[in-house]
Amino acid sequence: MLNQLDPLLHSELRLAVMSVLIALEEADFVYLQEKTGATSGNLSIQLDKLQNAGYIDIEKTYKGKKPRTVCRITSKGLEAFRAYVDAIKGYLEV
Amino acid sequence: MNEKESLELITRMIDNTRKGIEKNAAVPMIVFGYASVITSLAVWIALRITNNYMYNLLWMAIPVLGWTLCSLIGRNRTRSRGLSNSHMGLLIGRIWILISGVMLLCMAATFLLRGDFPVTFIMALLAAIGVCSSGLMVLYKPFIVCGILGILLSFVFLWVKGLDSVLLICATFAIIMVIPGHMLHYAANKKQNNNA
Repeated sequence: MLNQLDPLLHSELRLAVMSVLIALEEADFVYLQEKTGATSGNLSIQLDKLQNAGYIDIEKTYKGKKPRTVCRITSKGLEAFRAYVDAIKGYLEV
Repeated sequence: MNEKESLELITRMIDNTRKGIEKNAAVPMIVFGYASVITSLAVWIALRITNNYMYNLLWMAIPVLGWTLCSLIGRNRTRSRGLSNSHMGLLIGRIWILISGVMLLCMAATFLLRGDFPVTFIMALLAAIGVCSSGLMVLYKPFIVCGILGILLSFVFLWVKGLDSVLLICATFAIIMVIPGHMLHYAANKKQNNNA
């Protein structure tokens, strides 16, 4: 039987964010925006959803006088991402 | 978005992120390589003209120039493209901090022992080990090959002494850092252009 795809990850922007974070220790908001090409507002909303699900950690700090938002994938997020990839592979039979 | 598109998106994003990591990895190698080459030449010229042992203090310019330029480049990049740290990048960074620290201790030992210390041998060996281990961690062949070449070349310093050793260390830094650094930078740029 095929596993159901995680609806939280089955969204283009959230999946793109998770794919970037999976390859990194941490990334800030500007970096994620540059890589995904998303608008600030949309990215901000999707990051909140991922954080509320416990898939990423968001740390808000300051560098000098400028605010900086640093994102890291959590172990729960890592597990969900793995399960999502396995489920896709199951659908595609790869 | 269907399943196939999801998988393509994941592959594309991970691939793009890795290419960015490769490009970033080349910058410290190039910066520290040039800082070492320029400093060695400056030391060689100063010692040849003045014969004053104190000009060996110029070696301190390598970490100062290297870290200053790297942090300036990093700050500019962070401002325009944001900040990202990879697991491997952090690990390699920590290894180079350790190597730089030991190099500084070696420089201090040379002054305390008034030159009775194989500093060029140890410096070349440490730098070559750093390049080689970075290459082994990211499995980048030019770093591994140039690192091993540097390790072998460093033993020559046990026989070459005086001003000649300064010129030789300049060549060693060019071989183990500048050349593979540019190769990685070129390869990463080519990959990114092909992708675009």
